[in-house]
Amino acid sequence: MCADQGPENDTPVGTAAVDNADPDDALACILAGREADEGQIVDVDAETIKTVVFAVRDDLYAFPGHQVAEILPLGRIWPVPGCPPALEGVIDVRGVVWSVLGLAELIGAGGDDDSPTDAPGAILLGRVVDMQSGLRVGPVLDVLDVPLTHIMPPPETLPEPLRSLALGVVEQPVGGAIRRVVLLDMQPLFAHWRERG
Amino acid sequence: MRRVPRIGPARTAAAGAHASGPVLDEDDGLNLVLFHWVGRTFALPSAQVYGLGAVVDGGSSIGDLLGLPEPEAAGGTLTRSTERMLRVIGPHLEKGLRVQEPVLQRHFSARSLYPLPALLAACLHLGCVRALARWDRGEGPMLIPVLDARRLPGSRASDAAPCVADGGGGAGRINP
Repeated sequence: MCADQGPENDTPVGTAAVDNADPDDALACILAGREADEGQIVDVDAETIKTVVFAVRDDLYAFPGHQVAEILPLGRIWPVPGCPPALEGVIDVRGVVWSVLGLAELIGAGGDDDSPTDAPGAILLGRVVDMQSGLRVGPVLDVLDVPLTHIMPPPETLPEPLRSLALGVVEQPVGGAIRRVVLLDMQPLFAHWRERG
Repeated sequence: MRRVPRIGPARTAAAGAHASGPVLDEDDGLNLVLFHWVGRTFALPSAQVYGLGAVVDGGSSIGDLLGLPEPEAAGGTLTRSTERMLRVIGPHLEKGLRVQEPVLQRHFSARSLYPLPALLAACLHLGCVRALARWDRGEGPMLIPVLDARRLPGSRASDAAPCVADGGGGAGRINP
């Protein structure tokens, strides 16, 4: 009876199982159930990754926090002639010039209309290894600690080039609802662009 | 506020006397000639500019060469009176280069001149874009592409494959 109560037993503790238990053992059953519950709360110490969650059009994406040096409000981007469409121009950040890539175009989420529809957006200053660039995204919604165990591999249905840029997918509470967030990796994103040059 | 001098033929002719290479001033800065096309600002080292004059037929516009939209396409009401012809070294020395007013000469300190960001430099299809200049205006700083007249394509951008050829991305499109 009570000894069978454990994490694998779906019977709720304190209801039918306890009701059917020997009254003398009821407390023991409850305590056993509590221990089992506590045994399930292992995520507290689980390894997590900090993520910067943002929107691009109607979908949610995130970069690992260690790849984002700074989050800037969307300001004036100065165009440079001769750039590919996704390279929108340059910005000046306290005396340092950064290139700015439009993430929607890079991940194939751009529409026919080139104008950003996800304004007011932000610019993430991204830095990986020896590459850095700004990335224009939609609104930044949150900075979340995500347990590594919650990150699922990218689904087969994820279209290219998004799939090759995705570290995984995670379900997260964002804005009061559970949303799917695609966790992106800046390393292949930048490497792809540098190789194209 | 520092007055920005307008250049004329005499002044640019004087700058042209140093046309053998970039001239670094006492503070290691550079004189740049600023000009415009469809609301955008560009710069050339003044040492590459021989003169400024009225528009004559036959010269290419900077918009042609950089693949920028024509003023009419951009909704502008450009007339020839708002254009000037720059005489610059390189392939456009003879016929000149059409640009839009205002045409200014301004000194930029070395600290206000920046190399192109690495990722941008790797993807850029125009070899004539060499650097960026930070211009601190009253309404806020702006970043201006600094061109190299010697690397400008010799004809319209649509005919100038080495300068505007797409490297395989963007479905053949480039940003104007």
